[in-house]
Amino acid sequence: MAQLLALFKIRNILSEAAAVHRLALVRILDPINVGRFHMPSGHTRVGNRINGRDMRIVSIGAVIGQAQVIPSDEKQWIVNHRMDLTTFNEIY
Amino acid sequence: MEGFLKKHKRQQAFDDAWKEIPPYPRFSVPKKAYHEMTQLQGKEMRNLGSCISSVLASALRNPDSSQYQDFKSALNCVSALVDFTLMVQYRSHTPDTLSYMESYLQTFHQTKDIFLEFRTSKATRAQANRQDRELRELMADQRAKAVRHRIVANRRRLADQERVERSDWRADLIRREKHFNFIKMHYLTYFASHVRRFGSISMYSTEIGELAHKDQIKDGYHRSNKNEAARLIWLHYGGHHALGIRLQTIEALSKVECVIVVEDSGMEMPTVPSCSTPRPVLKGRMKNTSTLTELCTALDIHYSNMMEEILRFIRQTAADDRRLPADPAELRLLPVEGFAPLEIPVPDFQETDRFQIHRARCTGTKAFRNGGSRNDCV
Repeated sequence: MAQLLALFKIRNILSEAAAVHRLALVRILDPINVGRFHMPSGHTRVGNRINGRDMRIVSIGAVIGQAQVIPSDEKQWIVNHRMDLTTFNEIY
Repeated sequence: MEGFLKKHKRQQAFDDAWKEIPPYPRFSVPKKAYHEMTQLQGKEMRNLGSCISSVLASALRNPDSSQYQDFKSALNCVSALVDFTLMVQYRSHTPDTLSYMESYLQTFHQTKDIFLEFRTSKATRAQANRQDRELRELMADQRAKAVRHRIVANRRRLADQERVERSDWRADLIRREKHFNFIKMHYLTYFASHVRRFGSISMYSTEIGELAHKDQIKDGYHRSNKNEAARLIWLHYGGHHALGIRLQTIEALSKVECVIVVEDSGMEMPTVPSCSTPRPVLKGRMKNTSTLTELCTALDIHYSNMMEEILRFIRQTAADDRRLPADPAELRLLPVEGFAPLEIPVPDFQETDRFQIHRARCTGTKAFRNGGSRNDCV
């Protein structure tokens, strides 16, 4: 899971192909407790990355859907996987 | 649930988490605090169901030792009920999904007693208070007669024991007076057997009839001249319905063979776009973001961080003529366009040929629609 920081399109006019790259700058959120479900509510939690680089550029094709997170502790969020049937079925 | 939150002094935490719920497709963000809502419409009820368990989990975080068991039961109960309602909405079932459904309902029934004491009427509460007062007086009399409990520690221990005893008596009384034996609770037990006998529950939703009243009657009436309303309503809906059916037929045919045969002429039209999987699309261009430097300024991102990440990304991509230059000076010159929303097509559950559009937004530090900034999670 990641938080969107920038969405942009960049065109390589220096090459003959002049390819367009559609990219997203994201901040990675790491799963807490190795992504295990927090009992008894059965939610997973995510938090800011503590070590290493937390930003990354990805192609927008890598984004598979929006997520809903609810603030829990400071710099920790609960992932709401009961938002819709697709998310519920995939995560649970 | 409000009574439970009040008892454990978590009302404020719940309201805080409630206000922080971010937007999501097909979900309207609540504008009022939870305790300010008196009556819920169908849509609001659905909204509540989709976020209640995570908001409650957020509000009941960090319990102390005395609260741990109660919070655990409450979370178990609410989560089981929400899971059950989600399973009920499945359009097709397998024996596994039905057994999950039954087990969620079982968990709900096993844990629902945690909310029983908050289902009390005024009369029951008054009776419980009266009993509590009488017990306290009786215990005070007994304590006054007993001589051996004069040490402070003993007296405190005795007071604790008495409090527990009184609380047990109160719980017993409430349990006797209150119960969950009402018809809507009883219905739930038949859902699984209903699916086995008649099919998916959603087929029997009364909402369809309510919506049909708007589509079939009200819209037609508004468009009529109000003189011959009945005939015009019928014509309006008939036309719309026939056209809708025709469009669905064309769509179904195009999916099967990727071609449409035009009636009478025998001509075939290829329909490649409907067969291909939709991809995420960038929409809503931002102003003054024609280079990487400008983009970073607009979104309040450190240029060095952006350059570092983009160079790392370039190194990971295949070395062909589409690849971006790995020289920062050249990258700085390339034309860039910044965007705020990203439209992501997500296949609908159990209907993979339909897509829901998720609009994830990234506004940097700028406000979105007179609210705060939006940098959604994906």
